[in-house]
Formats: sequence, C-alpha cells, structure tokens
Amino acid sequence: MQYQKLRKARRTLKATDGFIWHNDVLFSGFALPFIVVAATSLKNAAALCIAMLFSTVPTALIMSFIPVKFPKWLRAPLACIFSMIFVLLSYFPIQFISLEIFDSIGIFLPLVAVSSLIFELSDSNLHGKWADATIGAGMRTLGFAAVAIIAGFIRELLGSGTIWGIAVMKYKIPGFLPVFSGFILTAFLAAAIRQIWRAIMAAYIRAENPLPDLKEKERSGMA
Amino acid sequence: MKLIAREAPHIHHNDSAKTVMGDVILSLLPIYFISYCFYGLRAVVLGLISVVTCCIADIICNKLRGRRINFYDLSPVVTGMIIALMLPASIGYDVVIAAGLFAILVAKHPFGGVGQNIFNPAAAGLAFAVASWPTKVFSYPQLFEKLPIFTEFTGKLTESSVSVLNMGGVPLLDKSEMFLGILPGPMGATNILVIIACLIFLSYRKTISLYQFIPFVGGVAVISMLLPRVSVGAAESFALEIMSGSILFGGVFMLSDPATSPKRRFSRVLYGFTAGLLAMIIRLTSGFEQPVVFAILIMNIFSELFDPITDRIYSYIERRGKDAISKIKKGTQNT
Amino acid sequence: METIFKFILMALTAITLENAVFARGFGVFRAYKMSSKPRTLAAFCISITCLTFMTSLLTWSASWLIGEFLPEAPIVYIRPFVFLICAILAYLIFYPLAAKVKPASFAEFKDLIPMAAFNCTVLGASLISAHQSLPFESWAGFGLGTGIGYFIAALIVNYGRSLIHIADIPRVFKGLPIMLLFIGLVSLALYGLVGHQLPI
Repeated sequence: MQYQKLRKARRTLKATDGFIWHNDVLFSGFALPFIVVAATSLKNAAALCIAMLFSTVPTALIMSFIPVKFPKWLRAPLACIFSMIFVLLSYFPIQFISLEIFDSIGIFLPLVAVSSLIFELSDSNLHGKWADATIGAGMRTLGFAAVAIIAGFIRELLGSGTIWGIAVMKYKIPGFLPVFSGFILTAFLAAAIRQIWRAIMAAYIRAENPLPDLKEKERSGMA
Repeated sequence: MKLIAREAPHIHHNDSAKTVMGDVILSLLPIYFISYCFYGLRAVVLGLISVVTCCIADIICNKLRGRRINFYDLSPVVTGMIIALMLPASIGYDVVIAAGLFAILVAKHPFGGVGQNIFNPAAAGLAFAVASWPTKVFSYPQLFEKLPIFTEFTGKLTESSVSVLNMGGVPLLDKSEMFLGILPGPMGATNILVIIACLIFLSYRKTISLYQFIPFVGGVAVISMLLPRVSVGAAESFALEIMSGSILFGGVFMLSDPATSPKRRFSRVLYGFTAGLLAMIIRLTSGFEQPVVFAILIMNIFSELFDPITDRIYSYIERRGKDAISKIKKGTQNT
Repeated sequence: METIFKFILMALTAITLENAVFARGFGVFRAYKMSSKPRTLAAFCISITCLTFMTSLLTWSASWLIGEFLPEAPIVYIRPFVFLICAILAYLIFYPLAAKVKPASFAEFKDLIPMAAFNCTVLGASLISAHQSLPFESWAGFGLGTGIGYFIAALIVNYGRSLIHIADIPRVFKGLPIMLLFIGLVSLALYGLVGHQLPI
C-alpha cells in the first residue's frame, strides 16, 4: 500500500495543529465549559473568542521567554496572572458587542484566564521558540473559535430562533439552551469531525491505492 | 453444535425480546383505546406519529451502523407508544417528534442500541420534552373535548391535579374519578384502573417484576406520608400523590425496562424503592409534574451497582451464617 | 447552630443541584482524562476539594475587604484578579504543606497540584458565591461542596467509562464523544432536580 500522499497531507495539516488537525476542543476536550455552558448565542461565542485570543497568544509569547530553569510548579500561576491581565484588557473590545454581553456570559469571561488551554500553554516545552509558541497558541484559539461559533450559531438559531439577536425563525426548541444540550451538541460535533477526518484519510489512501477491478482480474485469469 | 444468534436483552427464559416487547405493546393498546374515548382520534394519531418517528430513526441508525434491520425488534415501537402516552393529547406533533428523535438518536444508538443502552430512551426523550417545553407539556385539554387532528389545538387548557398539589391545594376531585382517570392529565397516565390491569397482565406474563414495582410504590408512600404537601391525613396524601400525574404509569412501563434494571431480586427491591423515593423528592424540589422520568434517568446511572452490592450483602450474610453454625457445632461438641 | 445548618445546606446544594461538572461543565476535561486511572483521579479530586475550600475562605475575606475599603472600585475588573491572587495564595500554602504532610504521595502526584489549583472549578466556585452575595458560612459551604461535588462527579464519569467500555459503541462515538453524551444525559437527569436553568 502507498501512503506518500497521505503522509504529505499530514505534514501540511500538522501546521494547523489545534485548529484543523486535532482540534483542541473536539479531539482533546479542552475549554469545554465555555462551549457547553456559555456559548448559547453568537454574541457570547464572539466575546469568548476575543477573550481567548487576548489571553492565549500573549501568554504563550511571554511564557516562551521564561527560562527553562524557572521552577515548574510556579509556571502555572505565572501564566494565569498574565492571562488574567490580558482577559481584563479584552473587556474593552468585548463591550462593543452588546450592552448585556457581560450579564449573558456571567462568570465565564474571567474564567477564560484559568482554562485548560492556558495550563497546557504554560506547560509546553517551547522555551525560546517564540514564533512557534505564538503560532501554536493562535491555532488553538482558532480551533476554539471555530467550535464556539458553530455551537453558538446552532444553539441560538434552534434555541432562540435568532442570529446575532435578530429574529429569523418563529419556531424554536428551548431545549438547546441548557447545559445538557451543550454537552450533547459538542458530542455530536466531535463525532462528526472524527467521521469527516476518517473519510478524508480514506479518500487519500484510496486515491493512491485504487481497488483492483475484479472483472478485469477474472478475464485476465481466464485468458 | 448449532449456534443461534439472538438480539439483546438476553433473558434466560422461553420468551425472547420480541415476546417481551409484544406483551408491553398489547398492554399499551387498551390505554390508547381509553385515550381515544377521552380525546378522540388525535390521541391515536399522536401515538402513530411517535411510533413512526422512533421506527424511522431506528432504521436510519441501523443503516448508518451497517447493521441489518431487524423487523422483530419492537423496542422503537414501545418507546414511541410510551412517549405519546405521557404527553397531553393537545400537544403539538413537533414535541412528540423531537422527543422520539432524542430518545433514539441520543439515548439509544450512540450507547450501543437495544439491550445495551444505559438510559431508558423513552425517559430521556420525555425529559428532553419537559426541559424544552414545560408549559406545553404540563397543560392539558378537558376530557371529551373535540381535538383537531391536523391543526393545533387553540381551546382552553387546564392544569392537572399535580399542579394543584404543587400549589398546596387539594384537588377537588372524587377518588373514584381519579381512579378511573376522569381528570385532565397526560393522555395515558391518568386511568389508574387500566394501568393496574396492565400491571397484572405484565406480571402474569413475567414481563415485569413486582419485586421492583411494589417497593417503588413503597418509596412513593414513605415520602408522601412523611412529608405531605397538603394538610390531609397520611393515607389521603399517598392516594393523592400516587393517583396524580404519571408516577404509576412510569413505575409500570418505564422502571421495569429489562436493559436498564438490575437482575437479582433483592437488587430490584432496592432499585424500585430508591426510584420511588427519588421520584417524590424530585416532585417536592423541582415541582415538575413528571418527576418519574428524571428519577428513572438518575437510577439508570446507578442500576449496574445494585447487583454487586447485593452480592456483597449475600456473601456477608452467608459468611456470618457459616460462622454462627460452626460456633454452635463447636459448642455442642464441647458439651 | 443556624450557621452550621446553612453551611451544610449550601454544601449539599453545591454537590447535587449546582454540581460543578454536571450543572456548569467545570473540569470536564480533567475528569475525563483521569477517569481511567483511579489513584490519580482520587489524588486530583482531594487536591481540588482542599484548594477550592481554602480559596473560598480567602476570597470571602478579599471580597469583604474590597467591600469595606474600596466600595467605589470597578468590581468587574478588580474581583477576578483579586480572586486569582487568592487562588495562587491557596496554592502556595497547599503545595509545601502537601510535601510535608504526605511526602510519598506528594512525590508521586506533585504534577497534579498546579492542575488542581488553576482550573475553572476553584475560581468558578468563588465567582459564583460572590455573584450570589452569599454570607460567610454559605460561601465556605459552597466552596467545600463544589470540591466534594467534583469528586463525586469524577467518580460517576469513571463509573460511566466502565459501563460504556463493554458496550458496542459506534466507532465515531468512541472516546470523548460518548463520554460527553453520558455527561450530558446525567446533566439532563439532574436538571429535573433543579427545575430550571441555573444563572451563569
């Protein structure tokens, strides 16, 4: 069996690790509370994306400059302090999304500073590799943003009948808004992404290794 | 040696999954007939839509999983019939369809399908309907009201006796009316007489276990008598609670699902009793009129724990018994 | 007596009705990742319980001080930062204390302590208590109850994993998706106890 095309595709896609390749939320389960509880509308999802961008990228950049000798058990609190400062700075652009955005997200906005993504960034071995750290954090944020926006869109459309607060549908299923539906929707999104990936990988393998034509084989065998 | 492949649940009995489900369907048919008498053709149409939704969802899931369709698997039919009977006759068809799809697509097939599901699909579907549309699910039409089949019901909707109890009042109904189901409520859950007749039939056919149902009623009795919601006697409080809402219906048709119930007798006693306690606690804390579906979901989580616990109790009793017997023997030998 | 009753009541509320995992989705990732290793799970959950309780005590004090000396301060900005500092203080107390009290277990599980200290459960419990303006005994009870509730939720996730392991799950659902479905249905079951959506 030939795997060259598949290997080439994997090498290209690994640059998007955390976003397209092995999305952090759907494959690993990072930052789930924000998707499951808080991302009940597009506005909430947008606010969470801004907060996550402000917290992860600068924190990853700063942590990449922290020397290797710095005690490991102090890296996490340091990362969280930086992250919290940047999350509080993100309040400025977030307030322009809507007047009630801080009420609708509640405690989940400051909690972005202590999400599992921040902990993973503080624990990564990218000392001195500031470009890799920044790109990696950016990819992870994009991965989170993609899932948050999809989940927020679906839950707002089906749960409230609106998109970005504008009524588009009369029919709604309020059961899409509580926490349990967030878990169930995320589970189906995770299953869907796995199926899509499996189909893409299978297509690459099949392109390089086409199935033998059985009728041709029989004819050549008979001849 | 001839090996015969059978679908789960694997019951060590002459009966098969087909006969078990068939018995349940037979026992639900009289309830549908009573609903037809009370609410007209809409009750039957609701049941049909629910059954068709569940069956189509089941077929699609089986196809996606690459399994062959088993036409003798009547579990989606049972799920569909139960879902419709726990809802008001005036409910929109969208609610029934949503509950049926949730039951099959979320609670049943992702966990392995028939016989392997952790949660009762009908209970999960109904819980979703209650959480999504509490006002619609807890508003009931009057009996003998002409309900339209193809359009939404726009007439007057009323509360059930459970709602009156929630507000601390005593339902102004005769006990005989409550027993015969001549009161607003879920389509199939109000006629206590027919439900008891179905219980007798199913227990005679050994489809359901009285070791589970009677302790369930006992659990309901304990809470309703110790913590009555209205200022009446203990027996009166128990009668009001058991004949209101869908507690009895849930106890007969949903609690005894063979895939989600424990296997040993004592485990079933404990399971049923705890489910009864939990159903009444949920009724007291949340005020939901259908606490039995949530109680069953919570009990489903822990159902597999009851058998090992019972095994440990039995082995402890056996060990203590053997120790006691050996002590007696030693004592008699010494004398 | 009333104080103890309020403490216990709030703790029970945090364990059941406002469970950290099933009602608010806190710490799902960690509970799922560690559910295959019972000893690690137990050590992690004990750490979270202690840290959540200690952080609750410190955050109540900080909240009281802010209210007394900085009543005009923009609470939206100050409170999260101050609460994070309290969580770090609790961590700085707990880490060496754990090393001294249980050196053998500490050596085995010391990498879990930062994970237990800096997650949504610890800070979230304090933020919820502040949002609801709870008195001291309820605040402390909520903190302790959140930790214990997380422990129980993690045990349920571990138990669910063992149930699901023996079933014929479709391939696309194996792993994280089926665990999320299981947690979602448990959350639906507990929704019945509450009767309404909890405020966030």
